[in-house]
Formats: sequence, C-alpha cells, structure tokens
Amino acid sequence: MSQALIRTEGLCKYFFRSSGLLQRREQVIKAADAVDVAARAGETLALVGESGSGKTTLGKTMIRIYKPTKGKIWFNEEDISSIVGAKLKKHRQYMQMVFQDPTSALNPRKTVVDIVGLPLKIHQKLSRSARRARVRDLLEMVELPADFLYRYPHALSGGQKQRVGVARALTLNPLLVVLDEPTSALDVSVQAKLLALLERLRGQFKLTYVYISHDLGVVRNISDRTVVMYLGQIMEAAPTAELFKRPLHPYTKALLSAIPIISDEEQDIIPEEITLKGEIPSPLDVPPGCRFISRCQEKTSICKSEEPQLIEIANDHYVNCHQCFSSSQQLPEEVAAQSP
Amino acid sequence: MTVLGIAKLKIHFDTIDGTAEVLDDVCLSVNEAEVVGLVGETGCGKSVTAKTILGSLPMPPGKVLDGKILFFGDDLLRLDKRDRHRVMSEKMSYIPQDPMTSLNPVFTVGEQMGDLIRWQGRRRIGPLEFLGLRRGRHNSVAKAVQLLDRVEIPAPKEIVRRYPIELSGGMRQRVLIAMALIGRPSLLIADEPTTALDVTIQKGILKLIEEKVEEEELSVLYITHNLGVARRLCNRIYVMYGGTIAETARTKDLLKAPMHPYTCGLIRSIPKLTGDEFKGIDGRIPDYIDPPTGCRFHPRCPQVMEICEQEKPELVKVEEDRLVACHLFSRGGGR
Repeated sequence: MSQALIRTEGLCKYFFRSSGLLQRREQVIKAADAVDVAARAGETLALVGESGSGKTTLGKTMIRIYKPTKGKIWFNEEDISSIVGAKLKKHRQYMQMVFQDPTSALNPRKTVVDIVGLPLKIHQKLSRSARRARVRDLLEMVELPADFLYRYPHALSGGQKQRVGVARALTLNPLLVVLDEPTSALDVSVQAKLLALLERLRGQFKLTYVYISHDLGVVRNISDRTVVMYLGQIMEAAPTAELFKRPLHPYTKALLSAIPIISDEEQDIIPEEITLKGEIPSPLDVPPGCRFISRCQEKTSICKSEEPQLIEIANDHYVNCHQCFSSSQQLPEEVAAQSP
Repeated sequence: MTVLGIAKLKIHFDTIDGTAEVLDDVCLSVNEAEVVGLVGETGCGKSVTAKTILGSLPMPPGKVLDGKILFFGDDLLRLDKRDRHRVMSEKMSYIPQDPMTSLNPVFTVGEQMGDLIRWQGRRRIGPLEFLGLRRGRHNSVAKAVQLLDRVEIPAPKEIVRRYPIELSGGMRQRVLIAMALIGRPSLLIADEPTTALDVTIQKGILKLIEEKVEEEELSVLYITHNLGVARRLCNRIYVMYGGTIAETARTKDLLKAPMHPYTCGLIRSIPKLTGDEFKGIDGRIPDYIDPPTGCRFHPRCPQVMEICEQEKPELVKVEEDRLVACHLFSRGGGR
C-alpha cells in the first residue's frame, strides 16, 4: 500500500455567525467536525453526501483554502494546518482545485491565456511569451484547440469552460487536485468526455484526486475509495467496490437506493428500498448522539444517548454507526474468508 | 383518448444574428392517464416545447411557423386569448423547474396559494373579496392547509404562514406541486421539477408525483434530462435532439434496446452502478441559426451515411408504439 499523500487528523472547520440585537450571540456552524481522511498517492478519493453535508468545506480546508479551526493536516508527512506566508504559497503549488460552477470560476474579463497563465505569473514569474507557450501546451493537454487562447469565457460552452478550469489547476504540476463536482453543471454526454480526460491526466501526471460529488454513479466509476459524509462527519468509508457491494451504514444504503438508475442490472446492486424521511438538519443544532438519528430507520435507544465512533469493522471499511458495529460480529469471518 | 397532441410544430426565433430554427417538426402525444417523458440534453428544445404548450413563450422573438397543438380537440394555437385561457385554466397545470425562484418572496405560502384558490377558473372577483373583506367561494386558508397536507408537508398550518425563504428546496417544490394540483387539472406539465434537489429529496418528490398521478388520474408531460428519473415515472419516452424528436418508445423498450444512434450514445454516456464502461458523444449540440442539413445529428453520428447529410429523416413507425427518425430505419431497411 502506498503512503498517504494527504491525511487529516481530527480536522474541524467551524464558521461563526453572530446574531441578536447587538450581535452578541454567537452561533457555531460545524461544517466539518473532527474528520480523519487520507488520500494515498495516485488514488482517487471520493467525498459524497447531500448538500449541506460539509464535503466541499472539507475539500477546501484540506488544501488550506480555508484555515482549519482545529486539527492537523499532513501533506507528505509535513503538517500544513497552520503554515502561513511564503511557506503556504509554496505548498499551494502542490494542491490545486477545480471548482463546481465553471461559469463563475472563470473571470469574465480575462481571456483564457490570462486565466490559465495567472498561476505561472504568481508562482514562477514567467515572461508573457513563456506563459503563452505553456498555456498552449496545457490547452492541447485538455483537448482544446489552440485558438481558444484569446477567447473570453462567455464564448465557451460549459464543457469547454470546465476544461479550462482543469488546465488552470494543472498549470503548476500539482500533486493533489481537489475536484468539486466538476461535472454537475454538464450534460451526461459531455460529462463522460470530461471524466475520461480527468482519468487520462491522472495516469499521465501521477495525480491524486479528491473528487467531491453527489452523483454516486460517477463515483462508482472513477474512484478508488469513497467517503460518505453527513452533517460534517464521516458516516462510512471504504474502497469503492466494497462500499457498493456491501453498504453498511443506513445513510449509505438510503443514498444508494435513491439513485435514479436506468437498467435492471443496476437494480441488483441497490439495497432494499429506503426512502429517507425529512431533510438534513441544520448544522447549527446538530442532534445529540448519532447525527443521523432524525432520519434513521434502524435507530435504537443507544443512538440517542451516545455518539458513535468511526470504527474499522473490516479491512479498510470504516463505519460510524452503533447498529452496524453490534451486528457486524459475524462479519469479520466473512471478510476473512474472501480476502486471501 | 389523446389529451395532448402536437403535430409538426415548427418554431423559429428572430435574433440579431439571424433566424434560429429551434423546433423542427416536433410531434408528440399524451394519452389519458399516461406519463410521458420528454428527455434531452441542454438546448434541445424541451423547455421551448413546454412553454409553447403553456402559451408562455414570448412572441416575438419566437414565432410559430407551422403546426398544431391539440388539447382535448381544441387547437391551442388558433383559439383566441380568452378561450385559450379558459381551456387551460380548467384543465392544464404546470410545475416549474426552479423551486428557489418560482415562488414570490414577499408573500407567505398561504397568501400565494390563497390567490390561486380564489382566482381558479375565474376571470374576475368582486371588490370586497379582492380586498379580503368577504369570504369567497372557498375558505382559502383552510383549503391551502388541506392541499399542503396532501403533499405530505409536516405541520401545514405552520407552513402557510411562512415565507418561501424559510423553506428548504424540497419543501418549496412540494408547495409548487400542491399549487399545481389546486384546480384538479387533467394535464400536468412538469419541467425538470427535481433538477435542483438532492437525490434523497428527489426520490421523495418523485414518489409524491407518482401517487398524485394515480390518485387524480393525471396525464403528465414530464420534461427531464435524466433518463433514470424518466425510467421511474414514465410509461413512454420521447428523446429530443436539436429541436427534433429522435425516437419514441415505451420506457422499457427504449432503455433496453435503443435504436436511434443518439439515444444509444445518451444511454452509453450515463455512468452505471455496475461499473461498466461509459463514453460520451463527440462534438456539441447544433447551432440553431445554421443547423446541419439533413439529419441534425449527422455531424456527431457514429453511423453517418451519405443520405443523412442530404435528406431529413422522417419519424417512422418501426415497431408497435415505436417511432424513430433515422435513415438507418426508414424505408423498412433496418440495420
């Protein structure tokens, strides 16, 4: 097993909001609450969950776009959770991001050459002509024609804009790229092309991806490991194939059963029919005990009184649920029988 | 019985750059108590079709060149405004795409629903009733509560007093569905009602629509870009590409054995849970100002032939309940 490129330890990101007449009352939004994740070099780690589950916050905090409230981030065994200034700038080169909405992520007043070349100007202080040459190479890499250099974002289609976003993220030869739902604004036929491109680039440049998505169909096909999040915490984490074969957490099962599938073969993969009641609670008042309790169909008294811990119940399969843990006693032999 | 029948609908838009030939001979029909899906990618003309049926397409710049929209036998395009309004307000209803912007932010849910309840099927109401000084034909608040209850909103008495911003996306969509069902319509047009929602919430909404369709014996034209959603709800699917109908068939047949190369490409593009390989379609959607000659899909088609460039394929019957517009299947040729 290769070593973790990036690893978090009890990572927390809280947002504070003051309210009341004199802004004296402070509310805490725990967007990411004591999260431990690790992405190994060369793999694609998927973060999935509903909107409001904290997956984007976690992605942004991991690469220090946000400053973490608590916890540590190890990047190549170096703690980057509190570095600042020149040191942080140096690390930014290794960690890049592709944003969700390609239209608002590109400056409408700049041409493609300026947008993609900006990191080169900031980090490598290259001359204009050197930047242009490099951007031309990058456009070729993301399969865009060279005459796009002087186009403005409004003259590009959604898929082309997202390719420009990918080119910009790869400008500085990063090690880690956080992809925040890069295809959610695209049609399926365009999405498939972009995903194929991302896969090719990952192999070519030995990249590590953290892929944030709510589309489990995409996640199934491109990721090596999947982390399911709910209200700022990890509910389940496992190798993707294993997670889809044997989902354990009730939330994971519910997510899987909600996917609109298109063929009967897929029906067999989906666990029993579960429809979640209600909606994700506000992160302002997280329920005590298990976070998922308000929507869970398998809850018992212990779920209310005690917060479950993320426990490894099979090889590399972690679950954050009292029920799974108590019912998993027979599971280890089953797993042992399968793995050599 | 056919509730809605569209024949050879052709719509152009006048733009600064020239005339955009957006809809080109669109034909579709919705039968009684049938859920029909209209599936296609961004910019294929599905929303234009819906808006034309509803009469909310701004004209100009849009203009109808040709075609008929028959609704219970009346041609909506040829009725005068007053009759059209009457026919539609009695029997047709609409669920909009974006629950975030489709409700008025300055009125409470109850006020908005109350307005609809009072005005339903009427052209004018008395001044006292307008000012809320006299109770109209209905007790609108009680009716609103009852309607919200039917779309499974918890604590409906509380919700009628809330403003739309206080509700989540899923709740707002439920309110909009409740509003669409106020007048007991026969035809419901739903324009991607779950696109902005999470899958778990989407599932609840689809279930609700399913139930309502059964309870009220609704006919539905369900517009979506998601074949999975269409599979769940629809009896029959129309696949649209570049302003034309590419293929129509029963849902099961269409997904199992797609015929039109575009439908095949679309189905192959969807990432499956089985982890089977998926790939997209080369090229991009056609330019409507200067659309490709012949078949509009031919520049992207993997099975393109000489004739495709010259001649527009007609929508022909290939099997029972199955029409395909592709030269591969016309003239009884088969593959």
